[in-house]
Amino acid sequence: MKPSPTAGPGTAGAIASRPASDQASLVEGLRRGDALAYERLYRDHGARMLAVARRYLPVMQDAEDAVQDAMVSLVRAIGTFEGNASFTTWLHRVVVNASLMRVRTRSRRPETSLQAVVEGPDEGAPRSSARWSVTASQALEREDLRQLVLAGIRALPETYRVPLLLRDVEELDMATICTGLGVGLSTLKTRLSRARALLRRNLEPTFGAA
Amino acid sequence: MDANHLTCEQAEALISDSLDGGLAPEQQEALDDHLHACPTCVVDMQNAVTLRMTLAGLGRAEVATVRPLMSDTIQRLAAETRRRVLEAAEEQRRAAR
Repeated sequence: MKPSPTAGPGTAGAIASRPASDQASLVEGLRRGDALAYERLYRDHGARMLAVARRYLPVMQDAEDAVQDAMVSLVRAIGTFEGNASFTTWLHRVVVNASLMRVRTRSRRPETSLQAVVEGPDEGAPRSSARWSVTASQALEREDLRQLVLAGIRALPETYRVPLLLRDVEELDMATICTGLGVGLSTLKTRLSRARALLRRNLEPTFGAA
Repeated sequence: MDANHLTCEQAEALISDSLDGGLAPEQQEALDDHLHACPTCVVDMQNAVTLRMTLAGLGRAEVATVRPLMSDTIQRLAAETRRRVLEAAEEQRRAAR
């Protein structure tokens, strides 16, 4: 997937918009190769870039490497950025693409340390018999619940985690995800179904009882 | 798809598919019939919608949390990037001579 000025509504709204003049001066600085512009980029968007990368790459070092990769891509591609597009959305896609590249190419590492954070998805766990007492708003407002969801996502097998992130968090359309991952629609649907089911069961003890 | 023989596993897959767009009429009918008879899958669907809404809002909420936690990392990455940019600029100057 190439960086694109278009993205789903979740992505577009995920990064607070800055005044257009601020964005223009930042982009201009990046085009000139101004080191201070890169510092400003990190100051303003660094936390977001790292947070996005970490969704795909649970190991922090991998996420940091992906952000660095994204910066290299940005240096190479900033000349192609169209000034009338949303820079933040474009930047977001650059980071997602860099993260996906790392996911594809990195050597597999055991993620057993995550088990200390949250139990891995248990395919044999029973389904919920009652509607969750936690609403989406509560889950987003309470940091402990947010962290639990994030940990649950990170604990998913990569095969399920990446499609879930692209579809449900990034809100990319199905065709774009199929192309990006090189899988067919039926495969994507199956992986999404399994990912969602595993994550629901993973969250059930807390979301069902909170 | 036979509505009388839709298993919970099949229903779970259709519930997931329904989150990504409309189902075919016969799929929707089969799912509706199954949900009418299976309270567990009704709960599953309700929870699936809650999870979907949570995930869609996650990115926005997440950055406020990670910003203070990652400030040291961000500063270090910024410094590393600055060094790389300065090195690249120096290489360009050398090449121009």
